[in-house]
Amino acid sequence: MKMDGAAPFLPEEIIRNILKRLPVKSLTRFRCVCKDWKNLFKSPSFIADHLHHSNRQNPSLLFQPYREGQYISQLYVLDRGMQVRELPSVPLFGASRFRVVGSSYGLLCVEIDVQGIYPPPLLLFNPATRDVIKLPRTVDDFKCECYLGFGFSPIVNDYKIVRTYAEPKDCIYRVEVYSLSTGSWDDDEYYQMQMPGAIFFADAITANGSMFWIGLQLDLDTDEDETDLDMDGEKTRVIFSFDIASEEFDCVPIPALGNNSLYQLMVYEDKLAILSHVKDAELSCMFDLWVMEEHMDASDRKRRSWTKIFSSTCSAVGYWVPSIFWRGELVYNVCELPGLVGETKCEAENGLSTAFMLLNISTGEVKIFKTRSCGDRRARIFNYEESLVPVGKIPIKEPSS
Amino acid sequence: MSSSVEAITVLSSDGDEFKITVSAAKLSKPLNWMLEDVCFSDDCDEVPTIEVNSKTLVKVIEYCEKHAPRANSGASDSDAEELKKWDIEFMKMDVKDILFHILMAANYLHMEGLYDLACQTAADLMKGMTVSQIRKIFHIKNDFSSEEQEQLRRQHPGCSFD
Repeated sequence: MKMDGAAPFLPEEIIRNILKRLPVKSLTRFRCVCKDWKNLFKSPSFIADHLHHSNRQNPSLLFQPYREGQYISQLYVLDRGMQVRELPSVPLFGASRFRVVGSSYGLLCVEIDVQGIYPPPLLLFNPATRDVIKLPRTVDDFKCECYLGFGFSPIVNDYKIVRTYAEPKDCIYRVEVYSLSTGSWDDDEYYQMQMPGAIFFADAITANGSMFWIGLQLDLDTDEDETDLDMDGEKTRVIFSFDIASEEFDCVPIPALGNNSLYQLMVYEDKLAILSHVKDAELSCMFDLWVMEEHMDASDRKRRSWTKIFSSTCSAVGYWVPSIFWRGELVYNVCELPGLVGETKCEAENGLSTAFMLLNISTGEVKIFKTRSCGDRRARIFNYEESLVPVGKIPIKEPSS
Repeated sequence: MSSSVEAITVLSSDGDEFKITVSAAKLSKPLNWMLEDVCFSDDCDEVPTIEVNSKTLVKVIEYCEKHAPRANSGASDSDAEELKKWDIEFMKMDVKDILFHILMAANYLHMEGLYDLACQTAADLMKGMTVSQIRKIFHIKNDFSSEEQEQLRRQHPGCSFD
């Protein structure tokens, strides 16, 4: 900027409007400009402005590779300019490896693998500022099935983590909710009372201020013999939701999908979506995309409805399972399939060939983006936008075990 | 002057006269109010003054004239793309040395599009600047004491005050 003494003094409002557009890296450097700026970058209102601005931009694609039976302890992002870069490593607190559970508004929820400790301890990590906190433990050495949810709600300006406990293939009997603003777990029967007979299968997907799990709803009044369920029985499957602001669980029915179709929960334009796909013989795939609309009815209750917004057939993608929507396109992690990735033929690197395939479901256009780093298709893949959001300063000490 | 005029004359803060078309003036609420005053007042001889210097006002009017057709009628996506490219070029040219003046003018004239564009341009330029360059353009004094600088360096190794 060729600016001499003639540059006018800008009012604070304009300066803030410029600063909120800067990447965290620049802001970190510019906190040395003066005390006002240093304090500004720590103020909740500026952090919220910056987050809001960052969130309206195109997110990056964050991924944690999975190779040879385990998650690689390194995170990468594919940014807007289609460049892959490494993120700072996650502080492991003595653990050997980690798994990213979720990514929401600049923060990651990470599970670390400490031998002999189950459920795995959790961290909240901001890769942009490298700020990290280890969450307090509530249960040690517990053999059970735990499923997690992680997300942010702009309504309450808070990040929450939900952890459910169940005996294998049995109903959830305990639910804990962690709130970043209070810094503690809330273990209340109230949560569990809201969803008797619920069975979860996987961690949650978060969209529009709510977490969603695919699960089963058992009828607890019938005899045990009858509740001996076919776990794959489509009819009993439902989606459980947890509203991060009101902390209420609810049940959302799954729309009537075609027979034989596989389906998965996704996030499309910050709404919960179901992508159902049916392969045909020639590696092509028929997609239906359902989106859940939410609105409040006259008595202020949340009403939800499903709309099929899209149907199409795309060729040459039938072999793979899509991961997520990223900037309106479906991301596939394609790997270990030399020669199958169109004409690009991934080079076999350590016996692995990896690439992201981006599919525009409306035009059917496919883009291949080769990268050495993505590992096989179990890689964890998320949308990610950087933020200044702090997670706390003093890491909580490892429990003595 | 009648309401059928197509352009009005305004004065810059330096006292130079500029013409701006009615449709372009609609991009700014304050300009639009001025225009209505001029068109509907009986005293037609008065030329309104805009508190923006000549060098800046030329660019602001150029921006308005370029964006007016789209703002007034709505346009196709290809036009929007073209306009985006034009914006980038517009900010690249000789605007840089008056960028802050453009920012102030866009803010004062309630021109959201130009304000956003100028803020983003300033942010993009700042990314490559050193801390002392930033202080210079924003007229900021380094108010950290040497102890405070030392403390910050300890907390954040590698941070620079220059």
